[in-house]
Amino acid sequence: MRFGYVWQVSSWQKVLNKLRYFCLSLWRRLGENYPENYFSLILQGPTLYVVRFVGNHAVQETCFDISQNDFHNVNEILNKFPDYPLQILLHGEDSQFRLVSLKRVRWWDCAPLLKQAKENEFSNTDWHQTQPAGCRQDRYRYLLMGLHPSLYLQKLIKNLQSQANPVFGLQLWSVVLAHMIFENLRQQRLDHSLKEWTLILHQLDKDYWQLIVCQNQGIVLTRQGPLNKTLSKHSLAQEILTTLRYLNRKDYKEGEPVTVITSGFDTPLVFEDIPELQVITLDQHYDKKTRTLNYFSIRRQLYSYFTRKQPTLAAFERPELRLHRLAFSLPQYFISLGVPSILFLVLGSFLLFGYNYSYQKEYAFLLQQQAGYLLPADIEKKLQTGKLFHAYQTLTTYRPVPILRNLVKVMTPYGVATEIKWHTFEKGAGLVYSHLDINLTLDNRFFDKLIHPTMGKTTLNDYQKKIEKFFTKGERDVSLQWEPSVTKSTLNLRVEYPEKSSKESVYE
Amino acid sequence: MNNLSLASLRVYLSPWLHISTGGISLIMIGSIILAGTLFQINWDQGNQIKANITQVSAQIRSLQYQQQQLVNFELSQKKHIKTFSEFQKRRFEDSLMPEHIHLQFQRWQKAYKIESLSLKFGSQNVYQKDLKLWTVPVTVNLKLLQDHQFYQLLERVQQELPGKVVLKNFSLKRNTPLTPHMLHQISQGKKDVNMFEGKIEFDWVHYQAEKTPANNGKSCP
Repeated sequence: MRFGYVWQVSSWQKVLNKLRYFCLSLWRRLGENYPENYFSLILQGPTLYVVRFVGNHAVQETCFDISQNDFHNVNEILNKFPDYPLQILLHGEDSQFRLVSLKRVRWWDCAPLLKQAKENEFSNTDWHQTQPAGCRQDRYRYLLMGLHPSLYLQKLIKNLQSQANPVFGLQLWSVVLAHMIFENLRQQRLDHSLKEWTLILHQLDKDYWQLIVCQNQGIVLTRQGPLNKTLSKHSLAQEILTTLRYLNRKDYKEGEPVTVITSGFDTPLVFEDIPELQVITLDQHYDKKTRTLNYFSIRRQLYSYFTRKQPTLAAFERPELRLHRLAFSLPQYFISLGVPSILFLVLGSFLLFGYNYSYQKEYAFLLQQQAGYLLPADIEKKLQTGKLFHAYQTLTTYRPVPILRNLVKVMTPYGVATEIKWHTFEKGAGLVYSHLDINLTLDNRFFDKLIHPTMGKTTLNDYQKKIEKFFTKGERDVSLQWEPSVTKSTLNLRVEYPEKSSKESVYE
Repeated sequence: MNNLSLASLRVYLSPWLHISTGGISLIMIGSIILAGTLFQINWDQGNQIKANITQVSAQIRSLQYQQQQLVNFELSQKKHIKTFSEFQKRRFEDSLMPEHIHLQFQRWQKAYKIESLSLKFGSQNVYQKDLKLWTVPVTVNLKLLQDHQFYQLLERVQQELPGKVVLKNFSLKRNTPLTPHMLHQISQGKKDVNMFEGKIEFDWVHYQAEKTPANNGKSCP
């Protein structure tokens, strides 16, 4: 029993340890960057430094003289760790920055225009990259960065391509430094006090200073010059004034407040002569050899989503290097696409739920309304009867019998009908017309010769008029036609009724 | 170009093998599946409710229509009392067959002492398909001794025959020509005895629940 208890405790501890490791790893992933083991190749003047990092700590540093053009020793170090990604950091390489605005350009025209701008700004041998550098006034503004590679750099890249190590990217120290400084300010929550125009002034070397001019935290240009120890304060203030004067050609307006961030100087710099300057002094010394490889962190991804700020740090992408870089950027894209899609789906679900709720209410209301209709059980039969009754009403017909009976009274005793014909013709489109043919045999004794005992003297014409009057009495449109007869004692009459709809009746 | 080597494949896999990238990716996939399922459920439910609402509103419209029809029928029934009683008398809502009118004509032949009567039915046509109303052309050939027999029969046919009669043609002809003696007799109001030949053609409209094509073109003596 005792043994079992001990075993249980140790197995639980193992599980807990694993869980702890997982949580710790996640936590570190949220805050820190990955990978932790890599090479950093720093090209500075005539020297190439190869620094190996393990767990984000530099453990090995080797210097090479680039004048020898021999990569044998470099390759030897790299081949020991073929899966370590390489980061190449250029210090003092000839680089250029341009801001291109595509304001009021339709987005589908942006790509060819940017390509054209790149071809105009940089030579064929330059390596260049584009980065969106939008601001509130101009969302379609891009930063073009061009790098004129030295012969040695070209050879070095060619050599690195033949190695197994994935190349993460090619970065400029000035860009990396600006990014680190802004990141530091962000951590100290000082980034809100930054003006639109920011100047980063730092000591590049023992004898050189560098000025990085940024607009909305995107680099516009860099300048550097020798550091004169005796006149440092005065000369640097002069340099800033000259730079501001130059910036007047860009979007900068004279007298606009500017933030100056100084770093790396032994003595703090004071610029009392220029009132528009807001000076932030950073004590921290940024060393290119000890910085960690800034790969990607989820926190920064989220930050750039919500603040719409573009990261200042981006590597130069050459087509040959891109494939390796994809290995690191694919998970980045995956996570960055996953976050908004999850947000979209969850928000969409809530919205749909709300909509469904309102529809549900409407549905319940309609059901109630439906239940409110109380129709008799034999509704179907009644409706059928109703429809049949309607059809019965619309079905009408001629009823000539009553009129014929009256006609007999009018005709006798002067004539007797020998043949009566009634024809109804359909004319199409629901129209019918009809005519009545009557053949009469006359009793000639009554006309002109004899006077009827009760009716007096009547001529044949009067008799015809009497019959005509009988037919036209009810129907004014009726036309009568006396057709010529073979003998004197017969009369043929045709009564034509006008065209009518079959739904209407002549007699009903 | 050494990008697609086995070593570089390991590089491509390595970020995913890392517990944080892999873990976060798995969590993200799980969350996407969950959120997607939630979205799908809500979407389907919404569609279902919309379909239900459409169905119920159609039913309500139909109920309203039926109620309106019923009210209209009742109003029309009250307004045309005479026509409605005639409609009932003529058994217009009952399913009728040609045999019904055949029997009726036989009865009339006996009652009015008609010399000879023959019935001929034409082919049956549809009048209103939804109401199952059919129309049959009927021809009646008659031989009679007195003309008023014909008029009486014609009126009976139009007023009493079950179903509805739409009169098309009719004719009445004396077989023997009138002599002055006969004319004199008729004008004096004496009996007009002659051999008459009559013909009545009409469309017989009736309700028939099931069509029986056997009756088409049937002729009865």
